[in-house]
Amino acid sequence: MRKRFYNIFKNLPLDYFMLSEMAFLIVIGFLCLYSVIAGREMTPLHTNFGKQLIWFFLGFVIFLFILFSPFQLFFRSAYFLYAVSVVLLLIVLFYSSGRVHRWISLGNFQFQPSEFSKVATMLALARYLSLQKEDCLKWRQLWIPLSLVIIPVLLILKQPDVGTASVFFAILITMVIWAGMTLKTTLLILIPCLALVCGFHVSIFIGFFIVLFFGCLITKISWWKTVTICGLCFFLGLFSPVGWSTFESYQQQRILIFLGIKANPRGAAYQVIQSRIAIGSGGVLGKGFMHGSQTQLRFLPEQHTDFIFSVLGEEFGFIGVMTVLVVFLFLFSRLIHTAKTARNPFGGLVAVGCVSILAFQFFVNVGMTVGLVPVTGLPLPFLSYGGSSLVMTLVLMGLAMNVSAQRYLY
Amino acid sequence: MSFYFYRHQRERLLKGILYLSFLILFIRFFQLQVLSGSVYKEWSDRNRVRQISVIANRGLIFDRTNRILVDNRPSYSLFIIPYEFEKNPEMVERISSITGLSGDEIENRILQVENGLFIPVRIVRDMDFETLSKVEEYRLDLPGVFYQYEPVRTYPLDVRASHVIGYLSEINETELTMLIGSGYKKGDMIGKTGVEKRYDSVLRGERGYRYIEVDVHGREVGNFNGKRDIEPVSGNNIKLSLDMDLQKLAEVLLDNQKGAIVVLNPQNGEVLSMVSKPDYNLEPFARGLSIKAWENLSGDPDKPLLNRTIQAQLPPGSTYKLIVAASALEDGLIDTNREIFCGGMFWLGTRMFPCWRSEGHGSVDILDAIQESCNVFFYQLGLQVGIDRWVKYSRHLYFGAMTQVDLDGESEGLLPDRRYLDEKYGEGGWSKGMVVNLSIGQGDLLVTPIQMAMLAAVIGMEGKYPTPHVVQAIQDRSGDWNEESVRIHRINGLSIAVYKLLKEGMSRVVNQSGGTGQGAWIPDVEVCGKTGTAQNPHGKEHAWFIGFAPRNDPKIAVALVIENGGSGGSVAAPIAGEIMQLFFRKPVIL
Repeated sequence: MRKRFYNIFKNLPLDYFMLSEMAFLIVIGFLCLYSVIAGREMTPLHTNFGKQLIWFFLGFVIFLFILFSPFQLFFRSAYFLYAVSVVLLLIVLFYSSGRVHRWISLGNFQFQPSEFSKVATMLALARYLSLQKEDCLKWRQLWIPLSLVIIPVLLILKQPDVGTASVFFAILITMVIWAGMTLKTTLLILIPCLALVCGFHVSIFIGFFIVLFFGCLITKISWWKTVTICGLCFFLGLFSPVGWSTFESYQQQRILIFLGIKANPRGAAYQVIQSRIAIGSGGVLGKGFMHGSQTQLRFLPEQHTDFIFSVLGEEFGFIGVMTVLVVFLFLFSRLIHTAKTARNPFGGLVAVGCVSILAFQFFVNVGMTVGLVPVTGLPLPFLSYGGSSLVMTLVLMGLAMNVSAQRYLY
Repeated sequence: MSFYFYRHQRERLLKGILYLSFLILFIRFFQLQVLSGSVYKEWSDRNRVRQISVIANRGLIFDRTNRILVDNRPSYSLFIIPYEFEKNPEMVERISSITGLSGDEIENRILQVENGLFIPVRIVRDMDFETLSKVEEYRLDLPGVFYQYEPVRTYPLDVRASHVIGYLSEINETELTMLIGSGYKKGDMIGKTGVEKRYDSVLRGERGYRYIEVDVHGREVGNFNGKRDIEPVSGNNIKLSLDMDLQKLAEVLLDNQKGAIVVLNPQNGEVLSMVSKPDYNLEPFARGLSIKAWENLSGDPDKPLLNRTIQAQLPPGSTYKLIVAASALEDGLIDTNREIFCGGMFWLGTRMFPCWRSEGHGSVDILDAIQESCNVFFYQLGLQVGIDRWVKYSRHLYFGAMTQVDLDGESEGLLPDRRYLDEKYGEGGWSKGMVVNLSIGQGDLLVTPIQMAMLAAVIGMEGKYPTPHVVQAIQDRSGDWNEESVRIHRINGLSIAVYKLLKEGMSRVVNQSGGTGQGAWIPDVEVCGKTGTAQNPHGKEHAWFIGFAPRNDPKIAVALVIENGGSGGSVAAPIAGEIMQLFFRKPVIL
């Protein structure tokens, strides 16, 4: 038994660089969390901090389990996990009370199936795409990946949670590009999306159509394809204002305020302004651990979850922020490198899937704290308070490090 | 023209997007923190919100006639924000000159904080008006210092009842860790004894929160977005079963004595009066007791903090003869015809045990023996009963166990059984003399006054045991009074006939000439009782009286002890008489 254990370590070249980056980020996360919670008289320090610690240990056990599992296991169970995730999403939609259906309660702990769904969908996509003939993914091969993504997205939009839903598109696009989608197909996906956005303004919409039409002429695609594309875009453009009205009013507000169309200093923008003041007032060196007056005084309800980065910015300043950013950057490029060196196409796709989820959430979350991206409620990997998010991050890291450890295997 | 990305191109594409996004973030953070950092710093200094917790009004405590026993009065406490203090260390002197506290004391208070630097720390509780006006006067020089309204306990009636009500004090570390998760915070007041302790969760209510906006110097500018404020919720009121007139009388009767009185309603176990003397004034606790005052109280050799009614463990003396009588009668070892001759003393081998009356009682039957409290009779009866039967019936009557009254810190007393005696004196190391002593309530046996009150109640009720309680009802949020449930159960193993005989004997104690408890006689009501004079190594005897009235369907049961008071008949019985007299003269709402 001991010998076998020894062999596991010998045969698995663990990426200790990645491991130490991970550890660094988790420690920073707990420091920021401590600072926020200790400054609030209202949240019970011991329970919240302890809860997060328990989640961390749980996540770490899962991380180790994934790290030392044979890789084929994930390939084989990918579709099964996907099915489970969809069932969980259905359960949370129908069997939870209140207006917002996001959590399944397990005693004192709450668990977000949408976090699990990200991983499961990513694995299912990786399995499907890895079985396609590499390097020439065609238009018709995209239907299945698209529907794999659409099902959880619709369920999550119903929750409603636009932020999480958007992650799925980031996964899809990154992974199909990695799987070898052609440039033409990429454009074919991007054009309808553009049409959705342009639909809000008549003159922009007309301009968009003129460009689209001439584009079709230049690329000399057949006339019926031109008509199909233009028709689709036309309907999407008409649909988008209608679709807008189905958003929750707080989501509309967030987007409008972000776009600068609407200003409301005490409303949704309040958080963004406060977060920006917190980060800005941190200056180069920061105010020092537990000395951030914004962090400690301002009553930001989501500071320990979505706005944890503003704590870092205020208390550790530009230097602290840059350190953390650089660690993240190293981590992400390391993950991309892992994807490249993996000889198994499934492994490569999983690594890319992991980096797409982590990096997308990272940019959206950090961008949101400095007012670059609308407030979407996406947690920051490693740092944000929240059990499901932390466990999910550790699961992704486990998968990626497993790929990296077994990268020379076919 | 279908072309795709090669693998290294894809990697480059992804990395390109990655680096570009990081570049954007870098620029943004550089712009925010390095270029306009000072602007934001100013902004953040100018514009602050402080979270202040608002203490809820503690629930009031009423007596059974709805008189307010414990009330709240407004007070002002002085707070300081440690963060501001760190910035202006010279503030210590200013605060010290205003409040009269030494600089070290203030710094200690602040150092105790382990939470954030921005959570207010209480420096002075219940400031007097002079300090308050000084703080107001020097407000501009005191950044981060403010005062706030806090309700404080006050006791409007001229009755102490200190042990029943109990005092409040700041929560300590042990309590904080024990009560984790129930919302207690450092600096909170918490009930330490009595009803205030047992019912703390009912009385305390829920704290509220207020958000105020403050300026650069930490001075309050105004309310911040009142929508986020959380109103405190007042605690629930409690009605005690105590009657303040009886309580007052009992306190006066025990003045300058050491002792305890328990008066209860034998029908349902409601405690009507509970006095332990010496007692203490609750008022100084409300404003935070000084260390010296606390040391005086806790170091007092007369132990005023001890609730003697439930915590004092004393030998019961002759009152315990009732148990020996009950054991013998129940097991048929004796009947009312059996007489024993008392010649003033009893010889066990070479050891002599005296009767309290040296000339002896002559021939006495069991009723005479109870009436006149003849020791010799009970020495012999006790030997006949034996330790095991005696322990068995004592257990049936809940001696050696807590009465489960709704107050903390109750003692069990000590019921020495065979195993205990074997352990203490070694097997065979204790003789029949021990049993002889125990049968008149001396020796290792210890009881609490409330146990004795329950004995009187059980005999009066002929075997019904109502669990004693001091809280009668709790008011809920909607204002309805919810009565506490009354738990009554039957005592095992003793038949009604035995109780009837005991009652006859106890009635003779008070109502017939030659009875030891005639001091408890009152007109029109047949009082039953038993006196006790317990020898003890700490000086004069403890004077005991237990009793109930009227004989049939009793309304009141009393047990009282005066430590080192003298004989039960001359000292304790008259006090019981006065209490019963007041009880039957004035219509007490039962």
